[in-house]
Amino acid sequence: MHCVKHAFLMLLSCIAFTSPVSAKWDDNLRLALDFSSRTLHKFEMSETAYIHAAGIDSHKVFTGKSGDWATFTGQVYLARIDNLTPRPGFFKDEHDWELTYRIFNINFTSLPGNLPNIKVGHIELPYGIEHTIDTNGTFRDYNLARNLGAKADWGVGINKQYENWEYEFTLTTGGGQSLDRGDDSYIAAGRIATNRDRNLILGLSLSQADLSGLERERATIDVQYFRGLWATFIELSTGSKGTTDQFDGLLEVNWRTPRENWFIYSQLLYFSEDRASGSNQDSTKLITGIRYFPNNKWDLSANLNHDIDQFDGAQEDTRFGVQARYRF
Amino acid sequence: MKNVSYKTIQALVLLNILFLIAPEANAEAYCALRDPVSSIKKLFPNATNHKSIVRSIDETTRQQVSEEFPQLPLHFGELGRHTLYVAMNGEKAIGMVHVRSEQSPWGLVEIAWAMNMDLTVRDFTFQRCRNRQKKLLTTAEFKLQFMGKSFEDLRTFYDKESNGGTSDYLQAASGADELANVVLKCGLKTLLVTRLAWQDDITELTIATQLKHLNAKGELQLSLIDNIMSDNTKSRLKTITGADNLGISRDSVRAYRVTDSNLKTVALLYQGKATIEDQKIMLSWLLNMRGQVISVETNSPWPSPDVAKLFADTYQRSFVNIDQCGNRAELYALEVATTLHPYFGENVL
Repeated sequence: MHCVKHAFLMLLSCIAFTSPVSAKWDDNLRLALDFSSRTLHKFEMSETAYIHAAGIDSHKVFTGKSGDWATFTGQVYLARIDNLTPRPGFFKDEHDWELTYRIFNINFTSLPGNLPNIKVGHIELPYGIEHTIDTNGTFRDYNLARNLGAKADWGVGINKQYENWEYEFTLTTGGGQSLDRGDDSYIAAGRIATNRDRNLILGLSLSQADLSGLERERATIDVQYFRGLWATFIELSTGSKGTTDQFDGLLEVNWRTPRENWFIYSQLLYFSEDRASGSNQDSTKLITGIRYFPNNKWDLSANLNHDIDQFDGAQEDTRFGVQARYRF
Repeated sequence: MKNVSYKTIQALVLLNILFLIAPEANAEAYCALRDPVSSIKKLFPNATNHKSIVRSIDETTRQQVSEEFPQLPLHFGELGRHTLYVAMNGEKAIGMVHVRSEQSPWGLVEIAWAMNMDLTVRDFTFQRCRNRQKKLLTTAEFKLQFMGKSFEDLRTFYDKESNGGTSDYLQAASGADELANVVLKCGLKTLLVTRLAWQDDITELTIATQLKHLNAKGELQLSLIDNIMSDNTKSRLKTITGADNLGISRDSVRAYRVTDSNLKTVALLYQGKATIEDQKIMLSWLLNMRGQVISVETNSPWPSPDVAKLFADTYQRSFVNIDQCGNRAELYALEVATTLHPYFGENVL
């Protein structure tokens, strides 16, 4: 199954780049080679882990006589981890490498009338603040994976952008990197929000999922407010995972330089669980990060992740990471 | 072992692809790219779709910009692959949108510029601006300064000493002078960069729209007619029209043979800048081989529906002498037909 999926996707890429509709295979094509290397250190546990990735980031717009009809985004990476704990489930152990798909989909944009666009493939789930922020391959992260059980998943979706608002809804298999989980798992997710280019953005996200029998429900509101070089983000989520009620809160303040080549952010995250057994747990962490673009090829970043408070039995720690990323 | 060899194949395939291509990139991942759909809808309400044309803004472009306008250097973050969005109504190109970022004290200001096909400004809208003063620059009075302006026209608003707008230009900015300067620089850069990087595409699109009138089955080709404004042509124009100049700038004239897949000339295309109601407008005339006008198109909107109708009234007619001409459109048609006369079939005059 694994082999078939990769072969199918490689074939899809070839078809995409050699479509007879486009005069030349590289019409409206953007291609980048993307290399990154990340080091993570846990101070309390005195452990150091490494993540390396090398891949292709591609973007192609298919256009016909009366305009564009589809957009293909393909991001395929070879990823290597060493000593990484905890690790994403698709790595077999803490010293492994895998071919991974970040975003890999086609969005059909020219359906008749006022019909929505249709997206097919490996889709970033439309949920919360993450939907409007590019966190791909960076330290900066939101609560998407914790809320939904995956950040990106295989499936289909509809989306549309209007002058003042936008929406995207997806139905995916819950497989994450795999095409499916081999059972009846699914993730239904959607976000409806005001125009993402405004200085005040309001979003409402809803999700329902069943991942190998574990049901999840979530509702989230997000607010993004920009003023000058500063921005403040708030994301509040409530829902359940199995018989446990959960609540997430996130506050982010960020600042950028006028050239936007430096970016600094600080996040305060609160998470609580109200279990059916009656035990209540909560945790708080503070994350501070910095990102620097010396030019349009290099992206250097660092991140400090500090547990202020942890669940009972879990060890509080402080994690520091640095990453260099080069695209050309 | 089986698993290891499969991974090795995966790695080799990907690494091969990695090193076989030599692309240009931006530091931001491409999943962050989004078409300015809402801006295009706002700027071109009649558009049924848009067509993307991606081109490279490279070191050559940067040097060309620096030579033409040294005060507006393109910084390295502006290089890379960029998109020009052509607003389409059916299969007809009705204008263009290009989004450019300009540095400001409030971060990068992104402005979506709507342009006519002759590279004059039609309108603009702030795509992203973190300064609340932007509302002061969306007034009709401020925007009117940009409407119909070419790069050369906008350049007259620029004051080299202050590296910003002239006092006349800033008068309509209601006190938002710094942001108004950002808008002016962004507009100048947009018009210049669009011309440098997309001129061939724009010409091709305009002509392609017009050639649809021929209802040709196969692909049509254009070949430039050399030295169309020869001394003989000028002499003939003087004899037929009785004037040295009727209002078409003869220096701007270019003419093409339109040939079908059998290399047979099926029509003639004439392009030239003309003065209509005090506006310089690029007119594109398509004539059949009997000398009849098939269509007249402009790269910018007609000054009025009445003017458009005058030109439409020349369709299916041949113009051979000045007695047939009762208005400006007919005079121009006579000039075009006279210029192209040696290339028509026989028995026209």
